[in-house]
Amino acid sequence: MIRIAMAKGRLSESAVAMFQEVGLAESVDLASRRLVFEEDEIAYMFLKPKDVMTYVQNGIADLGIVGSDVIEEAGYHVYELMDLGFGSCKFALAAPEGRIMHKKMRLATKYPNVARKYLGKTYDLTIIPLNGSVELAPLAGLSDGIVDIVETGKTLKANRLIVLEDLCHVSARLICNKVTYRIQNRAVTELMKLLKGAMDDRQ
Amino acid sequence: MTIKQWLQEKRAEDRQSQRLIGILNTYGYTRFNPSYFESFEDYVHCKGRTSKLETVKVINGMGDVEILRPDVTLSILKTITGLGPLEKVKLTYDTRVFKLAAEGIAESRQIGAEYFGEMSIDCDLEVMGLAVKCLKDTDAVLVIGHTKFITGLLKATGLSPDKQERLLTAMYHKQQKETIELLRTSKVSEEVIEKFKQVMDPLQQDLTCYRKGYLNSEMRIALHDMEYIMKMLPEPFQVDLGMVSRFDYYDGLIFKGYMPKWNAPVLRGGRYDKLTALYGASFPAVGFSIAFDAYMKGVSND
Repeated sequence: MIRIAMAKGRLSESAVAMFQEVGLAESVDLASRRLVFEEDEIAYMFLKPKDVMTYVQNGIADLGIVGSDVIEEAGYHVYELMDLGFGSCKFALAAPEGRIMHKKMRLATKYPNVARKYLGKTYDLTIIPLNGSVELAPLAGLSDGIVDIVETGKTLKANRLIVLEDLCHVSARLICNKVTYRIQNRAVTELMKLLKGAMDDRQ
Repeated sequence: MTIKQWLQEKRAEDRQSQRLIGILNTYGYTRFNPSYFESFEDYVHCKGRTSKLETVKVINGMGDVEILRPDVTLSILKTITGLGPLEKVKLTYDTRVFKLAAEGIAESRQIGAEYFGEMSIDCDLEVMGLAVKCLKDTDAVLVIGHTKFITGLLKATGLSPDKQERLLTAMYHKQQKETIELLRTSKVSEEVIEKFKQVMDPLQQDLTCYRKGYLNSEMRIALHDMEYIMKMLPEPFQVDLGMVSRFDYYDGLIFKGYMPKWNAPVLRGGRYDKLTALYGASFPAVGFSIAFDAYMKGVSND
C-alpha cells in the first residue's frame, strides 16, 4: 500500500485530474467531505498543505503533492522527486507604488524563512510574521513591504502594490519520504513513470 | 508492558546483538571498548558526526569541557594512532552513545565495525559484505553510492566552492529542478548538465546509462568501483550514484541500510580515509555502524 498525501484546495483538484488521466484515483470525490480514499493499493489523503510535509517527513504518508512554497518554508526533510508543472506562480517582494526602499526593511509575510533565504543577504530585515491579508500590512503602516505568492497580480494591483523583485518560481511537486524512496523504490518509480506520461501527453 | 513481555524483549535483543557480534568476530574483528568521555575541542576539530550543539557536555576537575561520546569513531582513532605505525586492524564495538535531544539526553545503542590500514576495493567489499550479512533475513534495503562520483561532477562544473555547496544541498534533497536551474544560470555546459540530470533522475538508476561517459578521473574511479561491487556483492542492493552524505569526511564508497518500520537509516557506513588525516597520521579506514534500537524495531513482528 502506498499512501499519498495531497494538499487540499486547487492543488489537489489538479493533482486528482492528473491521476485520473492515467486511470488512478477514480473513486476520489473531492466534493465529499471524506479525507481518505483507498483504491488499488493506493490511499489518497487530503490535508492542509503544511500537514502534507509533516505526514511525509514522518513516514505516515509515503508520497505527497504540495506546492514548492510550502516545501521552501518548511525546510527540506523529504526528497523532491518531480515538478508536476501545475500550480504555477512565484514568490515576489512587493511594496506600495512609489515607496522608496532602504537597506533596513520591515517585511510582512506568511513565509519568514523564504524571505530570509532570498533577501536576508541584501537587506537588513525585520520580519513580521502574518497569517493572511499580507497586502494590508504596508498600507496600514505595519511594514515597508511584503513577500508573498503572486499568481495573477490582481490582489497586488487592487491594493496598489507593485512587484519589486521576483524571488523564485513556485509549482506543485511530488515529494517522497526518504525511507519509502528506498524501501518501495519500484512502486515510487512506477508511479513517477505514469505521471511523467500524463505530463508528456499534456504538452 | 508486563515483566514477561519486557523479559522477552530483552532476550530478543540479546539474540540479535549476539548474532551481529558473532558475524563480526567470525571475520576477525576484535571487540573495542571506547572511553565514555572525549575532549570537546578534539571532537569539534575532527568534525564529528554529531553537531557540537547536540553533544552532552561535562566539566572535568581541571575546568575543561568534555563530552559524553556521541559516536565511537573518535575514540578508536585516538587509541590506534597512539600505538605507533599502523598495521591492519579490524575492530568491532557494541556500546551506547549520547546526544542532546528535545526531551533531554538521548541514549542509543550502536553496534559497528571498522577496518583500518587497508586501501583496496576488496577491503570495501569485505565491509559491505558484512553489512549485508548483518541485515540478512530482515526486510532491509541496502543502498550504495560513491562520493567521488559527486566530487567529480561538481569539479566538472568549474563553479566556485560556494555554488558547489549549493548544488550539493540541492542534490542531497534530490531537487532536480533547482539543481538544473542553478547549473543553467551559472552557464555550465550542456554536457555536464546532462550528467547531473542522469544521476538525479530516479527513473535512470541503471548503471549501464552511466557507462557512456565520465568527465574526469574521480567519476571514472567511482564507476569502476561500483561495477566491481555490483559484480562481487552476492545480495541485491540499490545503486544511487546521486546519494550525498551529510558527512564530508566520507571519501569513496558509501552505503546506507533502511528498514520499513524506521524513519531513518538503520545502518550507515563508508570509506573515510580523510577523517584519519585530521589526526596527523593518515591511514585508510572503512566501516559502518548499526543503530541497534532502530534495528530491533525493524526486526520485531508488531
